[in-house]
Amino acid sequence: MINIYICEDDDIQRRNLKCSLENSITTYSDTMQFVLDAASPDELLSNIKHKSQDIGLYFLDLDLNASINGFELAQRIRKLDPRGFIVIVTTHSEMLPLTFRYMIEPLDYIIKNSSEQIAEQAKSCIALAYERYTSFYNSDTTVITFSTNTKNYNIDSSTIYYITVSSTPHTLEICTTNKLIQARGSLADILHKLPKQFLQISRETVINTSFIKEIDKTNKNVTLENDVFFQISYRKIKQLTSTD
Amino acid sequence: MTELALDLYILALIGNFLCLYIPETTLLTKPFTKKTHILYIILLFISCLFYVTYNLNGTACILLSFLWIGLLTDKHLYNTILAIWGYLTSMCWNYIFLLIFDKITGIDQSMLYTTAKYQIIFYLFYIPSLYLVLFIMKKLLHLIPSMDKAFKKSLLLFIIAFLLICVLIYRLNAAIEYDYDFPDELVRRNAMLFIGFFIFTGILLLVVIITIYKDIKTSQSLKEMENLKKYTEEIENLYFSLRSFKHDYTNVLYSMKSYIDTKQYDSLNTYYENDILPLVKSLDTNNPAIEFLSNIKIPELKSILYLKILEAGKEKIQVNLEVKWSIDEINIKPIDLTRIMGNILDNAIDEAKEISDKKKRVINISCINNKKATVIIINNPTIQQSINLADIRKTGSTTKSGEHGLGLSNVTSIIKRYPNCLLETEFEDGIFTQTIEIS
Repeated sequence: MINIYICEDDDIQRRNLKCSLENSITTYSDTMQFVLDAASPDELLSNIKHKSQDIGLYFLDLDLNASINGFELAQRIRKLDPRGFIVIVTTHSEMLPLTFRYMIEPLDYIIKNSSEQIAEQAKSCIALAYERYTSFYNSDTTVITFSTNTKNYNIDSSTIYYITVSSTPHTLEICTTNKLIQARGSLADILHKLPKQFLQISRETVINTSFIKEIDKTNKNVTLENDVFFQISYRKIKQLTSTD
Repeated sequence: MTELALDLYILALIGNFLCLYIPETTLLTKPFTKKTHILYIILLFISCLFYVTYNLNGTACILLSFLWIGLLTDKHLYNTILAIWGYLTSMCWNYIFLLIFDKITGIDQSMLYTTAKYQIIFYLFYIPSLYLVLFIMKKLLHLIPSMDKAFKKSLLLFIIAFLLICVLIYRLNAAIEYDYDFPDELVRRNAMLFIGFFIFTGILLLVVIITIYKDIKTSQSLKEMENLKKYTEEIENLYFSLRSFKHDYTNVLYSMKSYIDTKQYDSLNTYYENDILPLVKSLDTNNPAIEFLSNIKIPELKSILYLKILEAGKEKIQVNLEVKWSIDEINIKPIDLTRIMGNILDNAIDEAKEISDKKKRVINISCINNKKATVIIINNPTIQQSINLADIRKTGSTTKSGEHGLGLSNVTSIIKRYPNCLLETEFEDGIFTQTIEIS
């Protein structure tokens, strides 16, 4: 279930947004429900509650006249609901897309121009949230969380090519289909979280065997789909080929 | 040439090997892979087989051993210098140790050469002491600013040539000692001469290195000052245009009021189109990125960002800078930060200038001050269809013809030195993003 919340201090804008949203979610009434239109961050934060299977879809105005601004509110919500969807409602001049993306990972933005445009944008946000929810959360994928000091990466394990220990102490390097990230941690920490297609081929490396392109038995190395290859012991080769 | 007995020959072989291997490798930091290490040991051993004490063969073998170091390690010239320096240090210590050994045990060099038993005792104490001395030398060397890539090849070659001459001087002196069967007075005089010369050489090289290092830092500071000067000029221009706008705008409002008072609404309309609108447009020509630069309180970062924004502008690339919070300090040496940013932005500009669609010819930069860390994000469009993220960080990999592919590998080697720095690279939908987190 997707629970929808609004936080907007201006009464007219809040009412309009609530209207647009309620109209848009009629097609998805079995997966989405409107929960609260809050006028202040405190009201919103004290009323967030849902079962563990649910996630929230939050429409937050950045320009709040409150004890915390919309940005900090978004960060707190992100902590409370790491998989929730956040939509930032803001004026054009306040937009900092790169900064917002890193700190909050918003689903989308709604730019305050006119009330028709807002209704249109709200509708596309609803559709996007539904699409993400059904594709990402209903499938069998294992999501692994890696953290740096400022950010948590939630990565679908089926996109990881390999994980190695970095030369920087207590740091891992994770190579996925579109990213190469460094995060804090050790192989021991994450090994038990990885699904069975991951194989540890050396003290420093774990590979995703579903991405193996070829195994070279003479030179004792294994090449992955992204053309990275690793040296591997004979024992591990046997292990790989026997389970194939 | 004295005929040596078999046990003496074997001892001499092992002794010579150790007296070359230990000094040449102790000062270096992880220069070998397993394969090159074994190759070096084999080559050194073969060279020692031909080492017959103190004649030309011996000197040639020693010079060859330096060559093996040069060829088999990375950072060839730098490691060769360290190897030769290690050898010279060990020869100094050799003189001192022999004198002490002679004083304590009464065994002098001529006796050592003829009796295997004495040689074994000698090596038993000499080898550990040699390790100790070289270890101390290594620690001392760590205090000197690193000679990484900042020093020109020609300077390094000159230092090598100079040190090789020192080695030759030592060898010639030692050969004379040997021929005359190590008379006390000669050995003592040679020892003092050689050690004195060694210390003097050390000081000379130190002064040269420190001077060059200071020179590099000064020229860096000068460049930064130039940048900040340009930045100040831009700010002053901004202020000036703002002031003249304020002046015009008061006049404009006054004129508008008179049109309204006299109810000449058509004229008011024309006045708006012809006079007011262009005035407003003229304000917009300044680069919005400059506005955010004021939030960056670190002068080196401000300077390099400003420089690159200007460079991008020359290539008709728009730069969007986002700095929401003030960035006051950063846990990494400013010179390293400048090199990292310079490299990433140069790459970004090179990629973005190949994009023909004007709307996509944009580089986005964001500097975030989270309480726990400072995060810098840079993204740029690229025409490349696919990028192998693991490859691009290595030396020698490049997509630009004629370039050496050192840019991004420089970035990763600098970041490696900081355990508080993490790098993320992403490539999706034709946009290449680098994120650096500095805790």
